[in-house]
Amino acid sequence: LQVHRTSVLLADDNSAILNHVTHMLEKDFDVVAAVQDGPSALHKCTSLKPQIVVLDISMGASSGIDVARELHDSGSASKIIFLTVHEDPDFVNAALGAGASAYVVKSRLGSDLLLAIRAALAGKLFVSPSLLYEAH
Amino acid sequence: MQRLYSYLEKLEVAAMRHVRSCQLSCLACSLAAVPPPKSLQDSVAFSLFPSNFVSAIVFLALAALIALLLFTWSRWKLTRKSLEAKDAQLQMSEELFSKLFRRAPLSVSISTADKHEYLDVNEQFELITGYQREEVIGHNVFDLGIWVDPAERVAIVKRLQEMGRAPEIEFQFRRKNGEIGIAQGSAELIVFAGQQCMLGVSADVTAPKRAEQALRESERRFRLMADTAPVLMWLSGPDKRCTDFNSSWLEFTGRSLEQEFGDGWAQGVHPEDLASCMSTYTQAFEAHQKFSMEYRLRRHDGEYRWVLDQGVPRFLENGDFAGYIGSCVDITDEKEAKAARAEISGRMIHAQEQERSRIARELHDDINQRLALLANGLQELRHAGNGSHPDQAREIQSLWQLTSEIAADIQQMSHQLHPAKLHYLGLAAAARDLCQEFSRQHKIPVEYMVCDLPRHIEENVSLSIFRTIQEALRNVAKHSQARQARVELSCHGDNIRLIVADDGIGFDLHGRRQLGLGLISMQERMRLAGGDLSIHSRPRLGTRIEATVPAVFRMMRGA
Repeated sequence: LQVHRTSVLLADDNSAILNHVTHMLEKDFDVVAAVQDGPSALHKCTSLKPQIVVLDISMGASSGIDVARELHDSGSASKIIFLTVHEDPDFVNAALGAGASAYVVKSRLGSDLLLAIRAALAGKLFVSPSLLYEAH
Repeated sequence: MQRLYSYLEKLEVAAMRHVRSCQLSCLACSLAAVPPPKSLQDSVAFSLFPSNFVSAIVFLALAALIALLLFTWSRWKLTRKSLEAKDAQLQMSEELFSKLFRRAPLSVSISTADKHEYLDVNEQFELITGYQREEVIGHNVFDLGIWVDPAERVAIVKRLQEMGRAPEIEFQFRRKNGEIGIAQGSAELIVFAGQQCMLGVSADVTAPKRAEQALRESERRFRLMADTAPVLMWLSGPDKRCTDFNSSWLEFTGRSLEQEFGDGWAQGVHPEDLASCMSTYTQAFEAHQKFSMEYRLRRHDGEYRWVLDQGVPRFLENGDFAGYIGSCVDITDEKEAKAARAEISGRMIHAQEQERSRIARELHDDINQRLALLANGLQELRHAGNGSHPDQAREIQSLWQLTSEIAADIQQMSHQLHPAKLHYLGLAAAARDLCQEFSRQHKIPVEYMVCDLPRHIEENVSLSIFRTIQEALRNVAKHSQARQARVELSCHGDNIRLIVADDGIGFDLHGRRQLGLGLISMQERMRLAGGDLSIHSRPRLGTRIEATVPAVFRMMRGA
């Protein structure tokens, strides 16, 4: 019996984070690709069409927000989840404005990322609670 | 008069004929013993005489004598009158000549050609030499020392003896008080009192000659100064055409004066600068205003050099416009040095930004990510130790909290070094964040307004604007004592306009010897971004900084 696993694409320029998240998700999800820059993420998304795309905002010269905007504008069905160290409401607004479904801060990665993926798959928005407190 | 004399003479001749005719008739009658003619007998006079012959003869002789006396008397009278008239005429002529000689507006002197002695001089001579007539007449010209250079007079006399006259002479003379003057005039050789004399007529031209000499000397000095000045000088007339150039100009261009005359000089101006150069010159010329312009001028070796050309209008004493005088200085080295300074300054700013960006990235991409992992590890450790000792769980929570705080601080530090928001969210968001942070930190409200700002602005431009806002707000906090500030960002055509204003104490911009480093840094950043920045401030009226910069960045290569 083949169980359908949600396909996930990871994009982060920090290899330690990338490894950590890959290790964390591959038990429950199908991590189809792990890339370290924006153009690669766009390329893989187009070819692999993952259900979930976990994007970092700052990936060297490329911006995860630009990738999300392009995916959104191109009509991609992939749900976009931002995983970033930017604990700033402006970034949250920009990310959601670019079509993201969730915004998770890396300091709460362990507790929030799985919740965010589930929320996204359910068609809901998710933002790390610590940010909501800060924004409030 | 002549007619009168002629008339009188005719009358006299007619009278004499009549008397002589009577005399002859009477004599003939008496000799022929015939009675006198009827006409004579009929005359009243004849009838008065006795008929006695002797008596008649005596009578006739007496009559002839009387007639002769009358004739002689009338002749004498007429001659006397004529002589008197001639004398009067001569006297009048002499008086006239004397007056003309004495009162002539020019100096007139008569001196012997051989012994050089003065025979006569007029009042004007007395006036210009200071000698009285009596002091010079009969005295030797050279003994008196009136001729500064006796050889000049000797030469003039020689010329007179050869040619008869010397129409144009100029010589120096010494006044009685010793002063040296200059005389101009003419001389003629005449015979006076039986000897050859020099009639000299001259005018004292000392003052105009001295003025002319002074002017010539002034012009010579000016020419010398112009030719030795290390600047290129030119002169133009009221028709815009150049009329003179100094040696420095000609040496610089390697062209002749004739080649540069008129509009010839324009051939040396760089073709790219010629239109603006001529336009500036023409506009200033028509308004008779001074001007200053920079253009490239071809040197003798073919290399174009930047010159600063400054021209000022010239006016005659009567106020008439006479053209322009201008001077050029080679500013190529200065411009290159300025460009090099700007280049270094630009590189320094760029290097500084690069380094800040590198450190910020290092903090964000490495330290912060690792701290995030550490925080996650601690979180997982706490979850994994579920049910263990509560103190341990609290300790882990405390460590997680500390890690998160360090991560937040490092993120803030990274942001201050190089705003990540500027890159990822754009200028409007980064500037808003900056204003909010400033208000929070300094308790000075900042009104932030954005209007029509393009979404994508070249990063160097947005960074320059961001740094300018940052520096301006830093000055507001440090110096202004403002109660509030305002930051405006708007787009006008292809330009982004920034205004940072405050209601603080302001400062006297003109009273400052130089701008502070912060203001200079802002100006430099804007200049490097291809824009400009102006500062407006007055004591107690706040400060306003305005900057305009093209939305599309272009690297400036010097001025």
